[in-house]
Amino acid sequence: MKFIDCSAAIGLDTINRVIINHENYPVLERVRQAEYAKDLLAEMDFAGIDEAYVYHSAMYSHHPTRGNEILNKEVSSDDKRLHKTWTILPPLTENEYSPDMFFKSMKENNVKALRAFPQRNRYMLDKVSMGELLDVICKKNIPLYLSPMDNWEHIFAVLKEYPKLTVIITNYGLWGSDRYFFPLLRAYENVHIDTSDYQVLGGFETCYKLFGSERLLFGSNFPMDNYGGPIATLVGADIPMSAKEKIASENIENLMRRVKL
Amino acid sequence: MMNQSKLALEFMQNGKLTSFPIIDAHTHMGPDSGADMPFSSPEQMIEVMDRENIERIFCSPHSALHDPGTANTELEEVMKKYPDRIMGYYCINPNYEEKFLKNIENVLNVPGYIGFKFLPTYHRYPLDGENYKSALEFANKHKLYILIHTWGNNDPHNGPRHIKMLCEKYPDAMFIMGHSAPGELDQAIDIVKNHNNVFLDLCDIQRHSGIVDKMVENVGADKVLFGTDMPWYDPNYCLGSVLFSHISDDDKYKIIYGNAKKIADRFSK
Repeated sequence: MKFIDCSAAIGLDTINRVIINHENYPVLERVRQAEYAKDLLAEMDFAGIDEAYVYHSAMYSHHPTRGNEILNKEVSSDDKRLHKTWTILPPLTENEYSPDMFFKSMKENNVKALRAFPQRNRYMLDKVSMGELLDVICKKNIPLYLSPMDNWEHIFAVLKEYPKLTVIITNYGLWGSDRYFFPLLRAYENVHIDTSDYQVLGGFETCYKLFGSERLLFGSNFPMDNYGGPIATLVGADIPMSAKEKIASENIENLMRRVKL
Repeated sequence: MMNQSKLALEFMQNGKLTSFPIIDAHTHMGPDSGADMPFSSPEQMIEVMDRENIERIFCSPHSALHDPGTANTELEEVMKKYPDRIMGYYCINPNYEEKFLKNIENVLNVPGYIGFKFLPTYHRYPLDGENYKSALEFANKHKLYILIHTWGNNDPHNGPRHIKMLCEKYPDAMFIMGHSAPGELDQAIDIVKNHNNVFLDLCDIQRHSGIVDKMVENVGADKVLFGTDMPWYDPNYCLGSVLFSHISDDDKYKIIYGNAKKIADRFSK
């Protein structure tokens, strides 16, 4: 089975590392990180992961623009296994995120997906603050990774304003979150779930029964999670092999094919 | 895949472990307030155990932990119904000390019990409080196991420092550090290194990168137990964390089955 990891981190976090147990409940624990791309590739090789969509820890712990630049140096734009994702900020305060410049730069660097940390970077992820970016992100079908590590409200809010937005919900902690994301899957056709933290017993089976297999994307959330857990949860799930193959790689491939840079 | 563990390859081929069964030393049962758990009834859990080759579980149902009115009655019913599959920890809620101590002899007389379960943080009662004393003395006298929820980040109720104190004060009781004190794993490891009557537990904490390797490297596989919090979590997640660690297959066997099998055998006689 081909595995594409929809979300993994390169780089060292300021504190190794804040890990979400469930929203608003972080654990600080020392984990094995991948300082450089080669380190993440070694982890992927051991676990049998073919490709990964990656970000750099500095995007979160230091500054989005710095992190984006470091990732550019670490991963080339034509890398066949590691695919870059960048983090955004409001264009009104950070000019490099104005749509004219930013999307051109994404295309030049072959970046097909974005991340936003609105609480961390202290802005509102809504039409008032981010409308000029979100309008284009929607139009171009660019997936936006969002984490409910602080709360779920901003995810529900942005989807109310942008119901066609492609969202990948990631880093949501190990407590079962079906009560949050099942309604989102029902209401918004472009919402997807990174499976890295999805370890509730019967979760895959229930989600598959309700929504099919297209909305789940295999992920590791490395290094907050290890590779073995998410792999075994998918491989051992009581769902058809064809569904597992979609989750393992086909869904993210289809999602990225829809992106119009 | 460069992971050439025969056990990992077997799992990837079959979708489950077949060389030997699993014993899960940290489970619950029934619904709980914090999350939807679609497979939480005893029957559903047995179905999962059959599917995933889980021989036995050591269990403390949510009812015993969070509903003092029900206390341990649900556990005793399921241990009676599934004597070969479910063993249990007698829950002590220190906020209702008398009620829970009233039937403490059940731990010796009702088949299936291996010891006690303490949940100090959730019960908002510290491990060094008076109301745990009788159960600790009982466990020490009868060499019983106590699964204690432990957490780091300076938790005032059940941090590693509390466990160190108990290990030394009750040397004949056997302690299992539930979750291995996330946030203070290094301190938990130090305690296990220096005391013979305490185990680390993989439950929850195994999911982070490098944790299984770190535990085994520091305390050896003999002191690590396989635990999943089922029905909160799919046992395959914990299993994958072990199978894709860098430890030997012999060590994986001990963690997944061997260590807990010794406990189960002692209390099955």
